[in-house]
Amino acid sequence: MNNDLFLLLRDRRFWQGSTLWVVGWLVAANLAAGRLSFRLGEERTRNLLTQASPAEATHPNANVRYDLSVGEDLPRYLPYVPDGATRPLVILCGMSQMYAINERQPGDQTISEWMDDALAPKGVRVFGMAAPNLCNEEALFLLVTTLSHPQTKPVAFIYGACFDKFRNVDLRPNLLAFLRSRSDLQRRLADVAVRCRGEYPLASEKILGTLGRLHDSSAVPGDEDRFEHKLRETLGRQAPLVGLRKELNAAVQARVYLLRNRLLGITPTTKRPVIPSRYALNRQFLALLVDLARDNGVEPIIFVNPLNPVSDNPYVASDYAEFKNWLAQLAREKHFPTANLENAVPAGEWGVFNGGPDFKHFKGTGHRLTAQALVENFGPLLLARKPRLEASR
Amino acid sequence: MMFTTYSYFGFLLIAFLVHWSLPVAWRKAFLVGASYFFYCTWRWEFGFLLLGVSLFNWAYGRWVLARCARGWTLVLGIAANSLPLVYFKYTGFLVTNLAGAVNLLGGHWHPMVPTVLLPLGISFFTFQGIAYLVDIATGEKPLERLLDFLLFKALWPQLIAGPIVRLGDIRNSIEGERRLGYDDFSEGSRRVLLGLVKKVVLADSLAATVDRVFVSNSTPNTIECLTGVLGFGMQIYFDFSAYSDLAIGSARLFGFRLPENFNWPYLAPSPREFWNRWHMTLSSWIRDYLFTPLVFATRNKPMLQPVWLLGAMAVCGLWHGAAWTFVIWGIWHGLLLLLNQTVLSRVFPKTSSPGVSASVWPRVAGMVLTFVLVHVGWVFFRAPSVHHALGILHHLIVPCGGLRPTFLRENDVLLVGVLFVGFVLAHVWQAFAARECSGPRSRAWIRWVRPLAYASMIVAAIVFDKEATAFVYFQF
Repeated sequence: MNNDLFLLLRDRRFWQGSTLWVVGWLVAANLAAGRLSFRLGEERTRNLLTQASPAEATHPNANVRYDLSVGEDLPRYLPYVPDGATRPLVILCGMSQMYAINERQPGDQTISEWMDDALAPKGVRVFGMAAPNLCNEEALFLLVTTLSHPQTKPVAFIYGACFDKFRNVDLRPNLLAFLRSRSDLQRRLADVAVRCRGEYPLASEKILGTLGRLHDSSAVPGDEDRFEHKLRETLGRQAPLVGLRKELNAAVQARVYLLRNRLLGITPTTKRPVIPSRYALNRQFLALLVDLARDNGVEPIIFVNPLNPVSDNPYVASDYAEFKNWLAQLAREKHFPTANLENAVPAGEWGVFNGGPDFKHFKGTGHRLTAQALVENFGPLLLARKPRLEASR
Repeated sequence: MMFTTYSYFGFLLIAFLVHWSLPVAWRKAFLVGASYFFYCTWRWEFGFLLLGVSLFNWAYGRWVLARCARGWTLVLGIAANSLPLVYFKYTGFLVTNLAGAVNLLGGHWHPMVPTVLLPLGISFFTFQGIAYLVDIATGEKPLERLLDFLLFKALWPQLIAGPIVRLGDIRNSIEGERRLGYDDFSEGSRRVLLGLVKKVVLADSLAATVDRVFVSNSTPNTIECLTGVLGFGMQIYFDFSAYSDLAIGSARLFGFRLPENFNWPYLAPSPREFWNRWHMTLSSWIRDYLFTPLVFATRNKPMLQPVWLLGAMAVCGLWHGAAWTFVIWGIWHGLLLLLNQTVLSRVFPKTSSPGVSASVWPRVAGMVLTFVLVHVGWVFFRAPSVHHALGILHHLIVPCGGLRPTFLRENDVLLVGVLFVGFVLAHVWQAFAARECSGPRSRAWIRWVRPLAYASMIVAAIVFDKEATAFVYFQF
């Protein structure tokens, strides 16, 4: 070793200064992160951010009947979609209510699994595609994704339109990454945007904006980005702090949110008025979803999500009433099947969230009851649909 | 290779260890090689551009300007330096505006606007090259050895986003022997860490909200405009100063002391003082190589001085980007400097000494007014078009759209608000209390707290990293 590095190491200040202490603290932080990993996973499950055990999907023949990654790794679960070319396939799409089970018990299943149990013996398969806080742009993207391949193309696309998700916009980063990897989906979306420009200008502009972001040179991953990604993954395996950075980030932000709630007195039922521009954009996306499904021979089915009848909720009553009226009117105009399942799940079947009744997520029985309501409302319609191969013969 | 990537930190660590392990005679060559490697990881083709520009400047400075420093030789050298910048950065802008002018005059010209990829850092190394030639022409001794010059031009910490380094700033470090001392190691690491946190934790968390307000199809109301403008004021400061911190810190690890670029610019009590604290190497470049020579050349016509000031600031704006919004931003600052010198000279305090003084309130008033005026300029700097900028300014002056955001989430507004309060408190602390807390007693406990603070900053940089934030969604 040359003199300069020796000189540095021989400098008393190097050993007495901050350097070693910083290294020591980082080692401690890594050890703590390693110990935290299990608790963080539990916390994410408790907050209904992910499903309890995606491990069951690791077996190639696993009976996976919905996207267990809840939007984080869609390409991994697309191969599990039952073949829609040979049997009628129904896609059930929506937000966290579709997969999150409060106080989960052995034998509990999600809505899509209950529906599949009910309809599969009669020849119709159901697959769930849900993600937390799914917005209508994302629902449209999922529809386009399923339409892109004969095997995933459904005969019906059932979508739980959740009122408070009309406050959300944009594709989540992992869906964006998936879109970036699929030029065929980009072309389809561009085509949709161009064709709907007159009727849905906001949605059209938003889609083109999303596609524009993909082609932004800084967003296109090159060799350097791939190397960076590999480096992070490699380092993540050695240093728990790096490996768990996403979970830690989620945990930190969750605490920031809780702090915000405490300081501002916000509860799960604090009223959240609509955000006008986002609301208008989501309405256009929903109407576009209906049109696009119809244009592709898919039956669009939209329902209003179940709501906890005893819990107060964050909806402004007049806004929510207006939303339901608008949806009913849209269904009349565009002649698509719809149902209001607000009261499908009775009071006792809901969970607890942040110390109060959860207004949006229910226990296992709630999933069964919602599936039952969906089958009752739309079962005959679904069973009447023929698979496309048979229909074309 | 971005400064905030793991790849960069791996590169920095390896370069640091190898550099200081090599015999002294090999170190410069190693740094030049490492700098070109750093630059070529983006697009290797542009490495030849950098090499070509470097060879030209070295040869021109040594064999032309050092022997025959006449006006025309200097102008030729400056023109040769400017050509690549004009071609790569302004071709589209020039063609579009020329076509617009032709059509306005009744002609019909609709040319295909060429898409030219902008080489990374070209604005910086062009200005550095011009400064070098001017310095040689005005008596500075040129760098004799090619290797020295290649290092001066390509040294990676300053190559992409400044500071704009002049020969006099680092000549001794280049020509002399550099040693690794604890002070350099400690200060360099500290600045790198500070820059990383500013960029990853602060600037990047503001970016998404600001982008939403300034996207071309948005129609923000007053509260959203305010959020966007305040957010951008903070974002651009954190972003720019973070780059400078990372550059200065990285260079310090190799024994180079680069000039400072930022000095609490929002504490400036006047527009003039603002430019002594904001992007200091650029403002001094504009002053020394553009404004002062013009004023000197026309010293018999003092009435032209305001014109040169506005022109110099317009060039400063155009340097930032090929769009009229940047030109207007530059002219706006030129106007502020002009007003600062003339009709508003009594409004803005003249003193630039920090800390509490008898004239604290005029100083605070000057700071607030300067802050507001600078943020008016930021609207043009960030907006996608002049029309959009005027719309935002209109909504800031004439309240509209109620007190609730129309497309931002309430959390976005809250985030910017909380960061702004913290930002103001940090500035108040720096202006009035920082000096009081640097005594021996304070230093004792700071010594104990510092390692924990540094470790926390590293953890924060890992956890809030852009790639990591992509995963977060919340129920509530």
